[in-house]
Amino acid sequence: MNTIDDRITAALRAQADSVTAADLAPAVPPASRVVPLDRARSRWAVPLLAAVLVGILAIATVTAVQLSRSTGHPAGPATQLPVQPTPSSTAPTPAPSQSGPAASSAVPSPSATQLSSPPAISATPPSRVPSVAADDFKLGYQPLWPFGNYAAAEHWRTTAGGSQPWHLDAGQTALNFTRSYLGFTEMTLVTGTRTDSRGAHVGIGYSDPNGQSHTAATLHLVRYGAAPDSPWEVVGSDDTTLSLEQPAYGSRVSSPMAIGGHITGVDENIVVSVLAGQSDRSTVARVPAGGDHAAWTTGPVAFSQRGVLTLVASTGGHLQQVERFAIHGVHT
Amino acid sequence: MVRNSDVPARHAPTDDADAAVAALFASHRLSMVRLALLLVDDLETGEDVVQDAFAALHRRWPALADREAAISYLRSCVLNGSRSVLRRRRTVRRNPYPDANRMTVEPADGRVLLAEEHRAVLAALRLLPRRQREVIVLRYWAELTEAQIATELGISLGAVKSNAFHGRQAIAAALGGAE
Repeated sequence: MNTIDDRITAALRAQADSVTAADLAPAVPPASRVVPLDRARSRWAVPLLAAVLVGILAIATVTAVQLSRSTGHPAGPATQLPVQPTPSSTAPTPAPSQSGPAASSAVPSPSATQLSSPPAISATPPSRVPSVAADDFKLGYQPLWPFGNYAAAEHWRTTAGGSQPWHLDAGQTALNFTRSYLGFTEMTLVTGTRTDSRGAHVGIGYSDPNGQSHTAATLHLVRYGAAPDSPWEVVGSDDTTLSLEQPAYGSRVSSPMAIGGHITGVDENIVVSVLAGQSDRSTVARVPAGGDHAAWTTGPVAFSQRGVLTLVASTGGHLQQVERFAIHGVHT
Repeated sequence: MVRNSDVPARHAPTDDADAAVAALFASHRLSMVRLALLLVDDLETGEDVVQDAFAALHRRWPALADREAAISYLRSCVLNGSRSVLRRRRTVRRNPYPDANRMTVEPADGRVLLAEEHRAVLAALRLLPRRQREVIVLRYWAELTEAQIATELGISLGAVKSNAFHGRQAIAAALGGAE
């Protein structure tokens, strides 16, 4: 490996070969499902549709901005969510170790981990201004919770002396995030944990009155650091029957913004919230939706939070208030 | 003004297209994702780019004069899609080029798994201007000839040589002038 050409070739091959067929998300090739419009219509339909959408967007944006300016509150049907109290400072209860090839799916399983007692939670809120300088470790994802940056994660790892050991348990971290940060206290179960090269995928759910467990979301966590005892960090959720796709993950956003995704379900009412910390949150929209992988969107909604934002979409109302949810990380 | 006769006839994708694209999907998806990964540094985004490329190929299939050109068309779609991703990132980050510190979405341990030497090369690659990076990837990984690269990127042969030279030189400089 002497010449620069050899080194470039080797590096590119190593990077490319790091992806195998097993790493690819399941996907199907495109097929002819939709009969295209006839040519004359199709030539005009797209520009016309685009023009109409732009018009609607402009009107909605202007309205939202005016409302926001006149009231000082987010426009639309926004209401403040009650802030969930931080769990008491009971001694931490580390969950059973879930390292290694644990349950590989988010399907409800009898081995679901039940929340026994609330662990002590102390999280470093996401930094108000994303700071690259503080990050010597390249996480590669939008860190959401519990650490706002790498320095905080390293501080815990090197100086915490073993306090709050739940940081080392992906399942418990995901559950604490759901209950303490999102405020979804009805979620009491870790229904499954799967680890792969991208991190841990933890099913979070609840138990219905018949004792049947259900998965509400599959959270994605990565270790915030290269050390084997680096703590877990929630960075997002995997797409399931409820997804959040707009705005793009990790992107910079400004108010107002449209939030959207896909859902499979019937008579759903998607509650969309923006969080920038446990005490800085607001519900920005409620969207009726339903169908098979049907697209949903809030349209432009105003928000006042700054810094790293956790977007949350949740739906429920059949068995309990929240039965499914998805999260997404962006920043202002 | 475009006369109707100037517009090539378009046909709806057929079962033929379904089968052909499905076969290409099975045989070439992985290599296209790898190409996208080398351009956007992010597997998930790479997969999206490739899915869009296959969708474009499927739409385009009835009008493809030369079915053998499908791979080249796919590669062009991946290049264009990757370029769009980088453009969006640049806009979002207000940064002349995507900041690898924040935009790469590789596995948390990915950097550890790659040899130190490879990491240095890849870090230098990420700092190259977009065109130089594309030329380097197509030349050293896809092993295309300069003429093929010129066709894929729609640039002159001279531009390919120039970009390859400067890209290679920049990487060498980043590696401490190693040759």
